Amino acid sequence: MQNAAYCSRSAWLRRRNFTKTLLVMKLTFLLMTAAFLHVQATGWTQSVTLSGKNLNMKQVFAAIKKQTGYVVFSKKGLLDEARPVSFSVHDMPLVDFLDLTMKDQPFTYLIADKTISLSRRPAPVVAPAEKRPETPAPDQTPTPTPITGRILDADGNPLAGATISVKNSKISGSSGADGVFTLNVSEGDVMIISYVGYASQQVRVSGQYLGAQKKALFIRLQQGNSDLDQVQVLAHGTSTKRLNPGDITTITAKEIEKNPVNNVFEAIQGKVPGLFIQQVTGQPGGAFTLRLRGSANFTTGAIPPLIVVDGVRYPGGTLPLSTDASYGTQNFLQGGNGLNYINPNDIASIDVLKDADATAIYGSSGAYGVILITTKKAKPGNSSLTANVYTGVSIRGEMPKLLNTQQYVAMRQEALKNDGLTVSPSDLDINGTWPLTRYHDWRKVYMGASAQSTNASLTYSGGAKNSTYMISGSLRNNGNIQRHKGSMGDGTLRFSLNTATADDKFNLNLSGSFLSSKSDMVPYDFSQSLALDAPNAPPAFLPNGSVDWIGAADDPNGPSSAANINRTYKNVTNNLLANGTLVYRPVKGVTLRAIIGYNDMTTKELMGYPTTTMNPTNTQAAQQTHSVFHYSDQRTLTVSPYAEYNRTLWKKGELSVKAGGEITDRLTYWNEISGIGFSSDALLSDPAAGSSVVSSYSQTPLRALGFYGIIKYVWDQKYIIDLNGRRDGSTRFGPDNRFGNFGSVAAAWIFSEEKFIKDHASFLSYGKLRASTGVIGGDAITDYSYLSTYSITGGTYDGAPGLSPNILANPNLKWEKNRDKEIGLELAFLHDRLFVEGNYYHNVTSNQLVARPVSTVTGFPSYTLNSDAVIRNSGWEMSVNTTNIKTRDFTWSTRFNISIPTSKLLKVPTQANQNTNYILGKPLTGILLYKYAGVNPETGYFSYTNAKGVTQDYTSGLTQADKTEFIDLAPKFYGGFQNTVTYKQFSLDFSFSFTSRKGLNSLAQSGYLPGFTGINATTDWLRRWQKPGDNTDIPKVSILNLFVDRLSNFTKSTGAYTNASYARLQNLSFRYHFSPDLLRKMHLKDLTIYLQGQNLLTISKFGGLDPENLSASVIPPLRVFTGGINLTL
Amino acid sequence: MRIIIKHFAIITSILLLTTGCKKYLDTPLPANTISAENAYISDNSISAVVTGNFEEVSSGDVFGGSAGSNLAYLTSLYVDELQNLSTSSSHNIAFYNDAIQPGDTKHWSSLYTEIFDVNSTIEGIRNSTVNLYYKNQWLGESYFTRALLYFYLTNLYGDVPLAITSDYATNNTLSRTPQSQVYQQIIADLRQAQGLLNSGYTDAYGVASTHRVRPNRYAATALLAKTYLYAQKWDSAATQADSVINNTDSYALLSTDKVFSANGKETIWGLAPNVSSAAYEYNFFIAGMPATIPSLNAPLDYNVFGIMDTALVSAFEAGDNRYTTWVRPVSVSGTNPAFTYYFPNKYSSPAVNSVNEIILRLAEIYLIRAEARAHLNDISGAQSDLNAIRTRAGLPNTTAGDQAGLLSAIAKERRIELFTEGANRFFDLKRTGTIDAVMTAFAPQKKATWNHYMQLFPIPTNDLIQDPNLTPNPGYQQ
Repeated sequence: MQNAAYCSRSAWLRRRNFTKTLLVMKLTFLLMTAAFLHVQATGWTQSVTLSGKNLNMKQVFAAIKKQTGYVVFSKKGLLDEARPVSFSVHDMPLVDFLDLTMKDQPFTYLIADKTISLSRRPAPVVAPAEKRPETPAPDQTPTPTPITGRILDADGNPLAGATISVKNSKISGSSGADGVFTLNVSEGDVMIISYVGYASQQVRVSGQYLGAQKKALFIRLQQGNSDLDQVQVLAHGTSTKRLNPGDITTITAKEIEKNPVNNVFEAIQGKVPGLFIQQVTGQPGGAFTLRLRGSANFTTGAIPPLIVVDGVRYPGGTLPLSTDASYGTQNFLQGGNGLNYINPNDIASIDVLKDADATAIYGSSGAYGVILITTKKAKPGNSSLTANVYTGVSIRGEMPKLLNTQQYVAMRQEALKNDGLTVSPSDLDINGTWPLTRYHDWRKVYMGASAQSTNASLTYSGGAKNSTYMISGSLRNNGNIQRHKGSMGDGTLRFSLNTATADDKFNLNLSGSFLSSKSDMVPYDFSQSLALDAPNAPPAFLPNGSVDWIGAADDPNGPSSAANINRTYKNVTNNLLANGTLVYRPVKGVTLRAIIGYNDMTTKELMGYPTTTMNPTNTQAAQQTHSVFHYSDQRTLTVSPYAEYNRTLWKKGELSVKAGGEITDRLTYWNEISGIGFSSDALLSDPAAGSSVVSSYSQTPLRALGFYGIIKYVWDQKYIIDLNGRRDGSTRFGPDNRFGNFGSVAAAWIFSEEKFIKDHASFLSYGKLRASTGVIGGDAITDYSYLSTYSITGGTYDGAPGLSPNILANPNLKWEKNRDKEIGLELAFLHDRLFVEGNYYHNVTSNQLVARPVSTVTGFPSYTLNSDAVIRNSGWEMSVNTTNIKTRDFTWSTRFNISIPTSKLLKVPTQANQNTNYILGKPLTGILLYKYAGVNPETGYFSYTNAKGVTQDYTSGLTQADKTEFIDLAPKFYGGFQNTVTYKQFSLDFSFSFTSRKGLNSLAQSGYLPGFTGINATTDWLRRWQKPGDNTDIPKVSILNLFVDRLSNFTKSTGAYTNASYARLQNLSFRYHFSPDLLRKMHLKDLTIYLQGQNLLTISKFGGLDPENLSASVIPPLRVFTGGINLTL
Repeated sequence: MRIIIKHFAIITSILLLTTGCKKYLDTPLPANTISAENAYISDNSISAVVTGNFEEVSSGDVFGGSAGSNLAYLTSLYVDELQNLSTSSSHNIAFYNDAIQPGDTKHWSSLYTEIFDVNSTIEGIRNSTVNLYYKNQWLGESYFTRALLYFYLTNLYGDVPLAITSDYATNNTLSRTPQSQVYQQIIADLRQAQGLLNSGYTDAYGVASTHRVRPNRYAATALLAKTYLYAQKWDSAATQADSVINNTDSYALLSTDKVFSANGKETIWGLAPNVSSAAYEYNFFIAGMPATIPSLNAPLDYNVFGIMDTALVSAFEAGDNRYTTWVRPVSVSGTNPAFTYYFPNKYSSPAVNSVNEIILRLAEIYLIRAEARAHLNDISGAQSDLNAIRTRAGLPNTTAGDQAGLLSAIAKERRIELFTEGANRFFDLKRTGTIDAVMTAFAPQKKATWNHYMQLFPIPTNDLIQDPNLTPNPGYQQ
């Protein structure tokens, strides 16, 4: 190799490039603000409605007690000095209400544990800025004394690492592993206790907690109500939305668990701005497509975002399942998805990293977004046992209506008449052979069943002080709605272990999970052939469920298609996830950390094609039996060691420096044995027993290496700046081009902490302006595209093995460059009851790696190169969260988000004719089409308008130049809308998702136009053209093939695309939580019963096809109804 | 700021030193892959490359076994040999209805993919500096293959780009070369192959073999004879045919039931099966279907979509052995009057992996020489060649006695002898200029309309877009 090892001297010199990156980043500095968590009491959560004139304080406090349950205490006589107040407030948060009430009073308040205590205001009423409660004047000069307390969460579990500071002083400290802290305070001081993810609390130090006779002090923190305080998982470490300068959306287990789904992608659909998720098939175990923000890509469509599960890169896209065209699972599972093998119930949170700041740290793999999945971990606290069980049914989703027999026969007869033909002996459906009164909805026959789904899990967790543990197991099973009652089920065993040395210098976290899944569903999607049979064809099944080869012998489509239910399939997929995190803090401020993640997903598929799938009269049935065993394995090892250094710099500044590396080693491996010709169907489980056996083997390594540095500086909790630098290496490039330097800079300004905002716009409880920019490298190309290689052909020729060229290699391939910019504004009003976030992103991709289509005269369809095209993906994303009503018994909150992505080709590639659908200034996701001019009222055929403006029923004569229309197929906008309503112990959630886009309509997906023997049509065909003068959008029926050719033009015209926009009631969840009193009596910690539904209602004008998967030949997403119980001991 | 950078630099450099070296990224290639330079370092590896090319040809869209792509099958539907029963394969429907669109034929890209492989092989062998024992065989086989591929390419598409290098930049901008020059290239390649190949059959490692699946000198000669015939060089066609027919040690006409058996003496060259399957024709036309079926649509149950057209069935003379051995009647029960389907039965063995697809056989060489001799006015020579074929079929000698009569008798004989084989019917109608007349008369029977432009297949739209110098075949919609 020309380039010596990285540790060599020449490599040292090259490190200069790295420094250069930092300088570039320096130039792009922007300063922003961050605010400290505003000190708030728990009283936020309550609100007061009161109006009246000259009310006295007793009346006011009685109202507070009645409405919020908070009791007011005061020193005797204090209230005598109170002035009467007049106001009219509606649903005002308690704290605001108290502020208002006491604005002109000689006393102030402090809230602790449902108690409001009043004390004399030390000085005359001052400027409005001082309206927050102040330390009451101590009665005597205080002497600092140590106070010891313990900080717990709502469930009584200790919280380690909580910050305790004393108001108006420099004194601060933090709690240890058992939640205990000790601090020097004086009587009357106010301690502020804060912890990420929890609402801060103020505690006034009273004498009873000091001295020799002191009472034990327990402080319970409540989970933060605001999304701003939700924990977010960053590349390395955690933060909260409040203090994060990057763009991250977090979905927690609380939201995920409301969805009775197999794949967590279904649960987060429509909930993450900028993340478009499409379920490709309704089959359990099927595929999903994901697209984060624009597609930014020429040929491959959407490059899926990187999925990282507990620190290990995870196969998030399709799986290397068997691709045997005739016997495999291609159409059935559409390639599957890696996340089908993680039980959504085991997921604690999903963080979607979107902008350059958030993703830069993942280097090249993060170029198309990153989804971090964190599984549930051990938490300190008393041992508890939680059981969750639900069960339910799935039924078929949206499908278009088909013609009944009478309508079908009329259509067929009309087709023959249109063609001037007469009924022939082979037209069994209309020549009287098959009764004209018989009707079957073949979809009901093949896939009308309802399937049961069950999910049960058991978790045991607990621990104390330095060690915590969690063990959980779960089982789930999902039936198939197709006629063959196969199912997919799995079992998971997980553990998580946390331990630390007594001085907390060394910390170890281990977690592991093993999932074993089994599927025996027939690997065949019947929806592909359901329209391909006449509704009056003879039933293909005998009453006992077996295929009726004799009774339905004259129907070629019936028994041969029905016999697919006799195909056999067994898929056993095992998924091992292991993660270890080692933390060592040698000296104050320095943390050394190593995260080691390992994932191994293996799939064994056994597919059989026994004689029962063939006509019993077939003399060669045994010769044609087929069996395939496919074994695939994807194993990934990710090791990322890093060092972190924290110190206070220049008094008010907090500096954090991280540097580390990441090594990824992935091996994709599969082999396949396929046999033909078995002496008995019973031998099909051994493909090697075939009379002719072929085997194949593949093993592809991929390695990636990255080094990075992160500098974060927070000034006065108002201004935050974040710098990332990274050097990446990938085996996807030639030895000379392997490494690339990338980086990003982000800044945030929490302006709500500025004095002028506090003074003049106090309704604003939080305001943050953030911006980020960065350069990220991309390497989303086929492995080894830089090298001219030969591979074995897999078969033999006359007994000899062969080699064959793989690719038109391009040795000059370099990293793709994605320049991402984003600006975001986050605002919260009325104590975070209204939260609004808006983002604008602007990503420019250049040097893009493109599989450029070439003439097949070159021997290949494409040639991979760095295109000189420039593509822009930009868009707006907005989310609004509101708490509409909040009283003691009733709350209603709403979340709404919308994403509006656009893409634009800024520079057309100079390599001419890359693809004629690419037009300067237009989106990349569009296509050029003929201008459809409707069904010609005279002839009944499709007509088009060519480039010269001439409208005709062209069957030939249209050229590329006549494609004058451009239609963008990417979603125009998409998003979701969720509501949560709770009343006493009941809670109701419903969430909608919506998408606006265009799709290929069912007419264009027909493949064959109705009129042929045995091809049924959708009810749209009732409005078909029948006689000259008919004005309609559906053409005349015909059995002539000329008409199929007309369809091929039609599919290339604007007529083939219709609005596929939809809104879907994605999820409905109704829960009842047993009240604490009842639970205490039952000796339970928690008991909840619930009903849930998934994909309940779809509003769309897409002609009955499912507007999500857009396909007439693939089963649409299922409808699921479940009921369950969750119990914690 | 300087402090930040300093801290940053120190920590980063520690990590850079401790974590990994660039060598980590020097991963091995995938297990089933070697670099191109390693493919041309020995006889052994080059043998595998050349074998790989044959495998590609054997499984590709022209000679390969899918009913939606096999050229012999689709052209038989396209002309007057087969009727289509399929309602599910749009390619079959399009071919049967003489209404193909660019998307219906993948033969262009398939042939060019194979041509790229062969061009790479020729360059690789020529550039290889190692001492090769079987260099002549590898080169000869490659030239033969390239000639074969261009023969089909030009007969399907007319003037075609002549790619004789593997360089993508050159090939991506080629314009069409006149068919006469393409024939010159084919002839030049075959002449080279004749000089390089052995006279006997060998296996992949140069060892003499009884298998007739790798081309020898006579395979090149036979294809050369066919090329000269198509190029109307009658003299040369007859001369080349002579040398094959005269090699009676290797080649002989067999009785009709033995013609399609593996490695028989009638075979000049065939393709070995690449996948575990019975012969493609067995799957197309028999596939385990019993001699009596319950309904007119029943063949579909066996994935059999093509039946012999009545015109072809009735073209057989009475007493023709080929009718008895090469045509299979299947009666449909329950029809009144009784109805019978006829299926080609040339490859009647269901045995897996044992039958080769015969591309060149001696009977055709006789017919080539007969036609060439007829054109050269060697009436008796033509008659004797034609009679050789008729005698083998159990038929009396031809009654044709003049050039025109003989040419028409030979055309008829070719139709019967070579039916549903190797696109011969389609090519014969084209090269004899009779296709428009025959198809215009025949097309209405299958509810189609024939147009002159349909003689040439449409060129893929993608290639017309990517290569600005490429022009479409007229008549097709792009």
